[in-house]
Amino acid sequence: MKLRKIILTILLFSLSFVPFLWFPKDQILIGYDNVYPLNAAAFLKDRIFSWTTTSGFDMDQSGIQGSLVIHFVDSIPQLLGLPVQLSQKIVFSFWFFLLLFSPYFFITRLEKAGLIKSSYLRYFFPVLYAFNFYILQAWWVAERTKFSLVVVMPLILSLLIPMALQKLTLRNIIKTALTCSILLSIFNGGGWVGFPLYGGLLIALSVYYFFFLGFYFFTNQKRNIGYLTLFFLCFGFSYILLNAYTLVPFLLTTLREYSALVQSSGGVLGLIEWAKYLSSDTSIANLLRLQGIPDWYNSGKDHPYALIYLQNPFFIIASFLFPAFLFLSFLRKKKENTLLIFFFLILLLVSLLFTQGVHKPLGSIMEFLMEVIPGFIAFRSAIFKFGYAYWFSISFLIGLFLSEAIEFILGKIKQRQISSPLKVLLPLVIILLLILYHFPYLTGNIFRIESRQIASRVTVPSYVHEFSKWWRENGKNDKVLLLPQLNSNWGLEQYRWGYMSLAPILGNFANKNIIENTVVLSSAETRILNDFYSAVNEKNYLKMDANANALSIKYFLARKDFYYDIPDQETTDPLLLEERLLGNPKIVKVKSFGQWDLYAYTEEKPLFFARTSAILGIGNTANEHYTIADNALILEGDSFIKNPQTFSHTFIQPSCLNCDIEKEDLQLIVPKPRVLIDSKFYQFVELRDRIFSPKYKSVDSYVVNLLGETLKLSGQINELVSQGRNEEYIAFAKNKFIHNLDLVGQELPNIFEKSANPYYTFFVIQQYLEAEDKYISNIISTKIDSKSVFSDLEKILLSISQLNNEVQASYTIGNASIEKKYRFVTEESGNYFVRIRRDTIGTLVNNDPSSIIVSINDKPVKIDPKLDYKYIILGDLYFGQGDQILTLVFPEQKNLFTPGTLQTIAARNCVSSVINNFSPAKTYSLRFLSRNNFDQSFYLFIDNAETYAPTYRSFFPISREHVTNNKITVSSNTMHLNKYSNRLRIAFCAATLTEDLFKENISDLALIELTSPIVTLVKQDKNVFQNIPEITFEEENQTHYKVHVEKADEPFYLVFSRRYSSGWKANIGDHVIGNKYANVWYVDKTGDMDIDVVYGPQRYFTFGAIISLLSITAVIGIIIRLKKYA
Amino acid sequence: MRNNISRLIEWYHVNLGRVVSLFLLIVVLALLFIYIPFVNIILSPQLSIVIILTSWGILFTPSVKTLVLFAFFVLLMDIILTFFGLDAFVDPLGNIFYFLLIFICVNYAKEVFQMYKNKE
Repeated sequence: MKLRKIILTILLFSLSFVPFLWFPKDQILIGYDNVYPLNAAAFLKDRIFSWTTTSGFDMDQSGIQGSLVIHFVDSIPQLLGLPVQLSQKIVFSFWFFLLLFSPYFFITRLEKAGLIKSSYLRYFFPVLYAFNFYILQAWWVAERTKFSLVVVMPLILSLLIPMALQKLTLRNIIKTALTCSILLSIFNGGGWVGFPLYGGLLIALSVYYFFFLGFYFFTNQKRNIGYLTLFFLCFGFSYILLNAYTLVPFLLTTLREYSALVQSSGGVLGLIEWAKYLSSDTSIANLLRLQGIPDWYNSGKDHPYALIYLQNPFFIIASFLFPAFLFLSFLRKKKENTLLIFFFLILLLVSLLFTQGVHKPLGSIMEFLMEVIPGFIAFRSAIFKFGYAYWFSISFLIGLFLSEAIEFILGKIKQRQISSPLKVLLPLVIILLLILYHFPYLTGNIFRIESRQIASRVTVPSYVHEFSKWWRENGKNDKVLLLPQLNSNWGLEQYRWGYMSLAPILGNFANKNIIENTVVLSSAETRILNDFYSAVNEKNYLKMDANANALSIKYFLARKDFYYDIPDQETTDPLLLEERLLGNPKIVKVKSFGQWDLYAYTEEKPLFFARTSAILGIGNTANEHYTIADNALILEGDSFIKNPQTFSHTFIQPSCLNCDIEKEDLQLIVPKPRVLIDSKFYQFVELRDRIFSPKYKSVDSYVVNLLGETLKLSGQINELVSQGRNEEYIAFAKNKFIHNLDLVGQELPNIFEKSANPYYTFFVIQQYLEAEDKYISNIISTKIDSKSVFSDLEKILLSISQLNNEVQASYTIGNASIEKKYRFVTEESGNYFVRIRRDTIGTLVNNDPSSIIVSINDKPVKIDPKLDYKYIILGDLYFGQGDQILTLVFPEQKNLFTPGTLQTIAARNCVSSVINNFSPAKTYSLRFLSRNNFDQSFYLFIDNAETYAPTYRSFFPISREHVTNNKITVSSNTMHLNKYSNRLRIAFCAATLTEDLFKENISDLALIELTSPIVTLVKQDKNVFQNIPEITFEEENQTHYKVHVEKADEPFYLVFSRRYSSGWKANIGDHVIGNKYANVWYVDKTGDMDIDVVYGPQRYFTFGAIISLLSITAVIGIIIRLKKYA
Repeated sequence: MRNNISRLIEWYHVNLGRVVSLFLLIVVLALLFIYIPFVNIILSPQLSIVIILTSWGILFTPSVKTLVLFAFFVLLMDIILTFFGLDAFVDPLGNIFYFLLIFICVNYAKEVFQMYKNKE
């Protein structure tokens, strides 16, 4: 008996060495989401600090400091001097061992407590738990954070389940709670940013709690309910204390960014759509077959092994054995196992519900939870977050069946000579079959999910190691910009030797001051870096130098092995970089490292420097980076210091209030009412509307709501008229309609005063009125017998017309193409130098700049405009202090449409015109009058004139003499136009079309550019401070700098060229953001001084670490004492 | 025949409460949908069918053996549909499996309750 156990146990744990099969030649696992320390000491040291510069830009890393434990495990072999590949083999085998050990330990604990009787479950359960496709998918990126939670869940339950079924005492509760909190602190899922991974564990603990709550309730052990609740309170409290080193920084720093993070991902609704994509194949049917992994179905034939399981008949049949075994496990004979099976069945049901995510029909529960519970959207990739709880429960039940099946078979064999060896052989055969079914574990062909050579198992070239070492020794506080830039849509670093990830490869070496346009950048930072990259590509050396100064970038690393030509992910050819960089006389080549070449400015670019003046930027300064070539320091309008002596210039780039109106196309649909006005239940509808009516935050939302009501009333009137209902109710609807329009009319004067963009509001009102006018007119045009109904409808039309006239008197959107309105606030009155970007005014009929009419606050102003290569300069204009409206009336836009010719396209007669100077980045309006009196197949299409590939198509219904006014917005946002083509084809086609028929049916064709001219205003302010102080600094560590200032005769700005964070503190000066990304302190002190610049959140980590250390000491002491006492 | 009828009558008398409960549930749900507007927004017809089926399962729980046998029948259909590539029909079978698991769970709940009640 014992020998059997020993043999099977040894064989079971020898499976831990499976990862040794995965490392051919000198390959390692790295890339995608697998961040693995390639320089262990440097990596760990970097993680101790709450601020890092290794991830493509500077950033706070409070949320991921919890991964110290996991990365410490990763680092142990390297710290002992072992090479990276051998270290990985050892580390991954260690995790494999834990994946086998934890369920094994779970079963042995339950057997010891007499809760289960099964001879072979302790062997089958670990194999099923460690060898499955859910875990295999995680091995693709060696997801140790997930493994830590997969390991800890059975360990914790191995303590909890026996505890719940024994006599509960306070001592037991506390001891178990403290032990569990230690376990969870060691296997912590990598920190709080990885909190969604706790999904499976939370499911298991919740099921455990409510299961035993119910059990105690029904077995009259109500005292234990209190103990169980106390357990969780103790567990939670001790866990918080033990993990204070990561929780404190997370709560005080990272969590603040949550809502911004959700919004940048498309909001909750955007993330639910992603959840639906991931859950499309996680059906219950697939999950019961232990499949449903999203990559299998989304990668197609590029997946290394999925197709075999989805198409090979043998594997398909084999997969159905799992649900068969699951159901058979319920036909068990041993009554001792009943309670445990019941627990696992409930766990299975709950975890299956969560694992299948938003897959219909049960997925509506998850969708509801995501919409309603704040933060629940974090679990959007449900199968990855909750799956291990499901695999845990189903593996137990299937393992139980297999064990009982073997016991049953062996029970039937009477001869000991046969049954003895079978006691080892049969389980071995089953384990072998399970492993062979999951053969990709053995072949190791799991590290690629696409047909290219990109994989998560690569050989890192030696020159990458060499550069990393050189940079560590020589880089110090200098920054290096990585070239070429990453494709802005994908943000992936990809090399021809196979590495691909959102994180830079050099980050794995913990190399500092690496600058790259990764996905962690804010939109402002992305714009700044893109500006820099453009300057390099365009050989604009002035701009390159200015950007380098502002960002303190001294070095450039050109990577010739970068995979720059992947379709849809293209970027600059790295072979062109040398010529572009060396064309700058200030840049020299420093060294070559294989395929990587390093260049540098000859002059230093210090992290800390001083400026004696700043430019105050107000408005939408994002579009135009003002004079960065002048080494300007721009402080944004909402962070400026109220000290008029500090600014050299005020720079305003106001938003155009009405430029985008013509690009808008409000699709207003009249809703069909569910409950008509004459229904007995209509009063409930009104009651519901009153109860749930929103509190209006602005006059805009109030007016739009009133108009929304009139739209609904239009639908009511249509139904009442078409169903011939009582005229009283139609009159009621008419009165309500007109009352709402009157209320809108009363608000018109307030719109200009109180609305954020009154022009847009007027546009919206006109759109509603136009739509309702058309709709009510259609109703009138049907046969209406009753005179009173006709009269009511006419009164509505009259009201609409009157309101429309009032609105038109306030503002006519028809002017929006030539009259542009800008609103801004001036802090001081004075002369402002005004100019307009020439590339943003479109193609005017009259290019004479003096034809532009300017008025300030509706008062015309005389101008003497001039032209330079980039701007129309209007010169100095006087503005008072406060709110300003600048109106610019431009000449008409040129009609870009060229007369078309009749030709055959796609077997039809078409009159087509090709525009050759079309710009896909701009927006155009195609306008024409149309009718159709000859062919129902008459239609319009638009494409890029390469092949017949319409990106827009619209048919003209037969309308005889009725003429329709058409307006179509043409841009790459509204149509799938080729972003790189400057040709546009507009064609009108029909089988029977002739030139005469075309002229008869289509007229007034025009293609007009819809412009948003960029206007800038600059005011020169006070004298700047003349003398710039001398700045030197020392780095104590990456969160603490000592800055020495000498010869500061006047106030100055201290610029720290790291990403702005309110966490950066200096002991002198007012802190603001400069140049949209840097930390700037205005120092109003003179003489020599020392300034301490520290990253404040680091102290949260230090404080938290002290609490954690004290807590772990206390916890271990209490456990030892409780054990002694017991 | 007489025996069968008398057995049926006997079963009816024993389970009268459950039969009436199920009947009432079906009638109430039906009347709800007929007479109260907007109820279909909160309670979709599919959800009400699920409620009825679940209630039937709780009131008249089939034995585990019956459920497992039925599960094998559904499994066989699943295999056939999978081989024919009719994935759209396979999905609903997964939902049937889920319901069978719920009914098995109900059986186990009753058994555990009985077991621990006897222990007391």
